[in-house]
Amino acid sequence: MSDEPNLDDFFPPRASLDKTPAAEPLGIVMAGSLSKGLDVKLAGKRLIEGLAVGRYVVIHGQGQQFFCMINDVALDNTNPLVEKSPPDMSNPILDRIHRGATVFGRVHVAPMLVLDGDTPKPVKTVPSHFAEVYDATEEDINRVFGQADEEHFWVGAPLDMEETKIHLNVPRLVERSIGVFGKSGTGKSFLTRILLTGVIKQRAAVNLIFDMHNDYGWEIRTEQRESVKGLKQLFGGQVAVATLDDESSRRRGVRPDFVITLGYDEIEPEDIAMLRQTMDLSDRMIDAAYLLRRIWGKGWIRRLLHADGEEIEMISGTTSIHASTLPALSSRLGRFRRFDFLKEETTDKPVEKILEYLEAGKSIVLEFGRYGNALEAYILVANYLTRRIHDQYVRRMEQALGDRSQEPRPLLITIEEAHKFLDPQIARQTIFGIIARELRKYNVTLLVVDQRPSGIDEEVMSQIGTRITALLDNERDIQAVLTGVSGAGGLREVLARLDTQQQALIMGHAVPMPVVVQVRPWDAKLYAIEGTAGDESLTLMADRASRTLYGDEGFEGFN
Amino acid sequence: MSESMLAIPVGRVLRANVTNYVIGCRAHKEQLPAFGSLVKTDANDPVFGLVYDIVMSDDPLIKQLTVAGNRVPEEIIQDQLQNRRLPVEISVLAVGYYLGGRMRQGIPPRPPLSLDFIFRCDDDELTAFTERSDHLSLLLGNREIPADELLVAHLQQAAAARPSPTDEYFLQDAGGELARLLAVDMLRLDGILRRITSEKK
Ligand SMILES: Nc1ncnc2c1ncn2[C@@H]1O[C@H](COP(=O)(O)OP(=O)(O)O)[C@@H](O)[C@H]1O
Ligand SMILES: [Mg+2]
Repeated sequence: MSDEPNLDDFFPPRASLDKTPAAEPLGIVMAGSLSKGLDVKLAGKRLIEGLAVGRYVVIHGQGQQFFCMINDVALDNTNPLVEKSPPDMSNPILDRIHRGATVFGRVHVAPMLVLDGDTPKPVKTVPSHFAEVYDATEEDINRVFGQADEEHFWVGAPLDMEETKIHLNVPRLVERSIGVFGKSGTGKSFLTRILLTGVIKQRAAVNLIFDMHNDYGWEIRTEQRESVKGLKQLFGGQVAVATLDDESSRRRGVRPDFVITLGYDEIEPEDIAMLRQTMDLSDRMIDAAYLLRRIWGKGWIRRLLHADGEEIEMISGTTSIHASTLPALSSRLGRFRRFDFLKEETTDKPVEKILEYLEAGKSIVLEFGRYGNALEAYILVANYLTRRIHDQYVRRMEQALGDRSQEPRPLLITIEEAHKFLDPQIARQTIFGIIARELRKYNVTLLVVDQRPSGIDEEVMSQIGTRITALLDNERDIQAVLTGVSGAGGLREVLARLDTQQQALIMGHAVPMPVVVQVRPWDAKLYAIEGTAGDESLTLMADRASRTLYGDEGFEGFN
Repeated sequence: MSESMLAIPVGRVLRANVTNYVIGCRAHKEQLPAFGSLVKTDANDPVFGLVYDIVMSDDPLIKQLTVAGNRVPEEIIQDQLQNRRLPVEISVLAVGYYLGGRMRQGIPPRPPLSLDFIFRCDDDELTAFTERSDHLSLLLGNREIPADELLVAHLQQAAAARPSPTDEYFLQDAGGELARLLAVDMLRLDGILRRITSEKK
């Protein structure tokens, strides 16, 4: 437009300027190996207390830059005698002379990736002696984890770099099953909600969330008794809330999109078999269930619960079932009477309804309400629905014959207390074990949330592509989440030293290297950025619009 | 050190080799350089050195006078003090030199010549010379001289020549270099460091 000289012609592009490190090195490489990691001697001025495990540093080698993670911090000296008879450190000058010269910090770093060009590459060598080590910059982090775009979703910040964002590659995340682990109260539910936000926002998959403690849908209570928003409030019509306990949902101000009831007649012995441990069912009882189903047909549970002594005696007499087995089974299944969502008669077709929503690209949060505290209800319903939905997915995938446009949408199923479903004794038969093992063959993957990962079958664990774990303090749990992870030794230290809340180690398929994040806060700022409907009125509008589009058929809540 | 003192030479070179030289001078107390001071020859390419010994020799007359008690007339004593015939001998360790217009540290390529004038260095020269600390290893390794004492005196003077707070930075850097050089001998290091930092003048 003007004849003004273009300044860019006279100055080199900024990127090349940025390459020259302005910051002072934090230290130099002293020793090490590719397999065991590198020892870095800290510069005297550098406070060792400022270097936490899990932080990133970049080693400037001669030709390439090595992106590394700190996994140990130690004190070292040039002469061990100095530790036996310490110098007079009360003299400030002496103190400064000795720090860095006779005593110094040593950090152990694991080289994770080589930054060379656009895509980070695996490390195959080490930098030479005395290579300079720098704090990783925001630019370095972005080169490794990617920038915000339609694939990458911001999940948190690296340690001590609050302003820097770590992004997950969401399509990769849902490509394999995901595990979110951590002790109770470490922020698993919050973290899971953030991941789901990414998945819904980027439309990487539709979700079916078995929401045990009302943590996902609407107005979630924090430990501090504050109320935060749920997915439905963020995404409006893109998310539907279903409930097993309409009363509880309404009490919490939720207007569920539909209520789910199951008929006794629909429950198969396979659904009962999953409850073996939870309901303390013996093998004989399970066998009996299969037999009753064969003799009595669909109404077997109802009939067993109503059967009198005579009838039971008759069955025991005419079959191989032991006399004491049927009363025991009957009393166990009698606990189902407490579950009002189980109906003698129902015309509800919950599986079809759920599939309809999923097909329309809407994610479903299934609230358990008061039944969230009854583990058998949770396991029964999650198994019941998942088995049937999975069957449909298998059928449709097979019908599609590899034609992508005919395939059902990728589905991500979220379950909590996952070890109850994926216990080594049952993982082989349960639907969840099957889904985890068949990878993405039928477009269904799992998001398992658990506080006791050591209870999960090892083979299933090895199929969990991305593991996200908050603090764990049980050695067996730590070992379980690290099985099959290379360089696990260093990560163990990192894992055992996470904060008690809102910090997590992410490793596996969705990240180029393991990363510790300060999980981003779930707050008004997040609603505004990520939600399609940041404020209430928009949510309601979107809701209304979706009802107009899809009809009110799923909307039984007001009756 | 004041300007006027600087112009006055300390004395002249009596004898020299590349590592040491000895200056002869008159026994004026004010004129005598202190242990640890930096001195230089007057040549175009001066040789720098640190004073590590000051020797007063005797002669038969002095011997007699020391035992004569207070029977010696005051004039004779005064005459001896003012006009001594025997020089005070000052030993200097060569620690640097000028070559090609640059100050360098280490043993000079050639010793100073006999009868070369020797001057004290002023604060600016002392500061400039101690910008680098490569000469410290020369001192530490020398077993013929009281090396540690010399080192302490020298570093304290070099620090005193600097304005605060650069004097402290100087001591830190020099201390760091000593720590590197004496990593194997913690006790010696500790002794030296304590003294350069606590006896700061
Ligand atoms: N990302 C986060 N943003 C805001 N608060 C969080 C976050 N993560 C955890 N918290 C706080 O920690 C508490 C426990 O988190 P929660 O997800 O319920 O733990 P868990 O599911 O592991 O038992 C929450 O109630 C909340 O106060
Ligand atoms: Mg939770």
